[in-house]
Amino acid sequence: MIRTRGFSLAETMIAAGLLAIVLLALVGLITSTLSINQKATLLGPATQVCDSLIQRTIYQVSNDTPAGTHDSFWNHNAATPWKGPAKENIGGVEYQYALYASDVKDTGGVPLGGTTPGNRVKKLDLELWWWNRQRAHYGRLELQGTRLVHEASSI
Amino acid sequence: MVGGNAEMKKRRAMVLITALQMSVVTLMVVGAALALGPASLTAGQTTLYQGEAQRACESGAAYAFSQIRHNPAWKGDKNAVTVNTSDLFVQEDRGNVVGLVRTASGHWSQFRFRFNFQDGTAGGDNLDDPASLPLDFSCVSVNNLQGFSPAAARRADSISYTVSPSGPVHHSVPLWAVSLAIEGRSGSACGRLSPANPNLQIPGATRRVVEMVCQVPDLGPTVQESGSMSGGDFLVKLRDAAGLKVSVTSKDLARTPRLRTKARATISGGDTSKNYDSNGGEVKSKTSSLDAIYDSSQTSTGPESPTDPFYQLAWNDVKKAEPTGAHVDAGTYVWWEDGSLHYYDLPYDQYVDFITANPNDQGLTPAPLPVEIAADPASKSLTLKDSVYVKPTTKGNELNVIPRKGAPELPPDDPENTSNPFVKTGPAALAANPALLYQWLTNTQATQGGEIDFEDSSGNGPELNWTPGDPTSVRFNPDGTNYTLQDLLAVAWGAPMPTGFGWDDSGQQAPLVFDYKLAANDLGIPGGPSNGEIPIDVTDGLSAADLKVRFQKTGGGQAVLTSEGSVRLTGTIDGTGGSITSGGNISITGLGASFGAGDSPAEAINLYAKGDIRFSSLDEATPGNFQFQNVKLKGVVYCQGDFVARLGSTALPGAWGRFDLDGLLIAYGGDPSDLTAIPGSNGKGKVDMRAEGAALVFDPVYLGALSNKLPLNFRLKTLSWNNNL
Repeated sequence: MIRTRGFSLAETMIAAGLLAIVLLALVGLITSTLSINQKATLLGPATQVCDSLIQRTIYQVSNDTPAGTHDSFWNHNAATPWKGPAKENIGGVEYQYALYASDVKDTGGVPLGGTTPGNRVKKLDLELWWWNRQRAHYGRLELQGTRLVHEASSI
Repeated sequence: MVGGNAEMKKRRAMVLITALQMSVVTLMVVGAALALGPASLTAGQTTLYQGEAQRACESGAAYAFSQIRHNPAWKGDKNAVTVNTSDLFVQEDRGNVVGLVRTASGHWSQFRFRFNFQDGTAGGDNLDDPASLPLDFSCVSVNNLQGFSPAAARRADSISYTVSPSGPVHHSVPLWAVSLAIEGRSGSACGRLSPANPNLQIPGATRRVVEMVCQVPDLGPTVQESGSMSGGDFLVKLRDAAGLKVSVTSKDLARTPRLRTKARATISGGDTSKNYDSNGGEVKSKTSSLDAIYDSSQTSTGPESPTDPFYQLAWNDVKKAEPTGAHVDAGTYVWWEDGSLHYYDLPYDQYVDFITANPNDQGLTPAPLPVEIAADPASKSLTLKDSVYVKPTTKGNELNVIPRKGAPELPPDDPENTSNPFVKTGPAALAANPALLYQWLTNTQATQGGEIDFEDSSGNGPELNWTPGDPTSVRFNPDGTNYTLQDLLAVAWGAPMPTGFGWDDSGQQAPLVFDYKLAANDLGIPGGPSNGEIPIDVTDGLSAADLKVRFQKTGGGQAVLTSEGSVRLTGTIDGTGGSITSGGNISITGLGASFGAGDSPAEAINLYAKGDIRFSSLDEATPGNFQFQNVKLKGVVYCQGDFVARLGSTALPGAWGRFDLDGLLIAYGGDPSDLTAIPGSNGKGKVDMRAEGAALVFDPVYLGALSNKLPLNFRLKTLSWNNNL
């Protein structure tokens, strides 16, 4: 009689337990990796959205489109948003953003560029976020864009 | 049993192999996940940082445009921290600009650009090297907004980051344009930056570069650049001696050192082997020739078309002191030997007549001066601390600053004496006395061919004809014009040629140059005070060398002295940063050695006159002991009439002075605001110099300091835009 001896119950339990731990860790890792990838994938388009929104804002301010935008922007100087929060659905992602505009003054307290008409400079801040800023494993889902804007040059 | 053990071993081996395989697969999956996750996140971050670096570039451009529109001559040379807030910091250091912009996420991004060549003190950029912000960035910005010719944009070498003025030109910056090359840097490496250390080395930072050329469109025609432009003759008489010559070079070695004249270019005297030196230079004249001793393999000649434009700087485009600002009353200000300054509400000629009749009259003492002009009795100096307008009075609009007994412009025995009253009284005397007129003609104009004639483009104009040997042959023909014989004679002796007229040079019908003083004596026409001297019988030893006019604007920049009439200054003129703009003539006697000692355009001293500009550097150190001083100008000399510089005289053979000009010399010979009038059309535009030697260094950057040509609130049009060079 040939007696074949299998794994004992204890061996089987330990092996199954180890396998479960490994698999769970693997699943967690893959989930996290997928999240990071997804976040990274979204960051590129979000950067482009950020650029586009800033360029569009400068264009609208420069060309006063719609009417009143120019004065509204250049006369705004507050901690509250000049525009927003507003929503844009781009590529199936709903982005929200807020634009801030603040005066720039030199070390003498004089507006940068002096009093020459059409020579004001503003600091434009864009705050952009999506998916309510936060999602598990994704970290903060937002980015900011900042630049100076010159009144007369559209730059 | 043996077979059972073997089977057991086989199964365990399979389990072991399977477990090992799974472990390998698991490790590969884990490894891939660990590798790919951060990599893709890094890629996303890089995109983010590139965007921030790009926006930093654009922030730098916005800053630059705000400065340029406020001051079109700006090139990052405020040499100070200009903005210092919690989220923006900008520092300018002799042409280099570094800015930090705090993003909404809290970290800094940086922009930086440079106008500085970083080639030592002054150098090709007229800027000293930056004191604290040298940039290791090879693209260099160029501000040519106030230029009158295209400017070269060059790259710095990648080792010392120095720009060579003779290096290859990367691109040409057109007239009225600015080329900005801005580097933007962002990323975690920028975390090391701070307002205390805004310009650290930050390897690993994400970097973008934007280069753009923007222009103010439609400001006028393109002008072929030249260090000297004259609507009339360009004449230089040098002292006869070895080694003396006229040297014409260009500050920017890539620019052709050119000399343009609508008439003749003549250099006489000097070294007998070579009296004109311009390596790689060009002379353009009406006759396509240069009457000088020069090396034709080094200097070429060519035709100058009457219609080729000169730099057109109209009176309305000149920076002037505001009539509503600080002002000084027009009139004559007279220094006395005791250090007191006396004011007479009279133009110069009337003052001379008045003081000759009333030599002890004290005028108004002390003279009325605004706080912008400081008078120092000890040094007999007037210091302009800000722009000052000469306010016309009911008597006139001239400004004269002179010593009590005047100052001679030429030594007593000089054959040329244009201020001799013969010029004023001679025409009337001769017109009234045909015999005297014939005597003058035969004495001074015998080889003229029997005619003096100026005419308009149709050939109409007054003519004076005579036949040598026949006293009854003198005839005057107004030829359908309104000009009298007296007018013709006055023009012959230096009065302005009427607009639209010129000498009929087809038969040499311009008058011959003659000695006014001798002619007056010969003809018995009464003489009188002449030559800038006021021979009154008072005891006063002041000479031109004892007086001084200084430009020293409080806070730096340009102090502008503007008069609607003529300006006559006596004494040394020095300082950095000033302009004299005159609606009449500018006459400066006793000019010292350092007129515009600064190295940047803002520190130059410029002269603009609707009439003539006349220099005499004669110094009478002790009574009767004359010596011409050297004259060194840095800036723009622009007149609508003639430019006359007297730094030598045959009466003083061993005491001539040199004439050095770093900038531009333009004798337009007409009104530049009249775009249809060609240079020289008013019969003037002559450059006439006598000097020991002359060096003209062409540097057009100074025109900007004098010109107000850019329209208020000008806008810039983008001509080109390159990303990430």
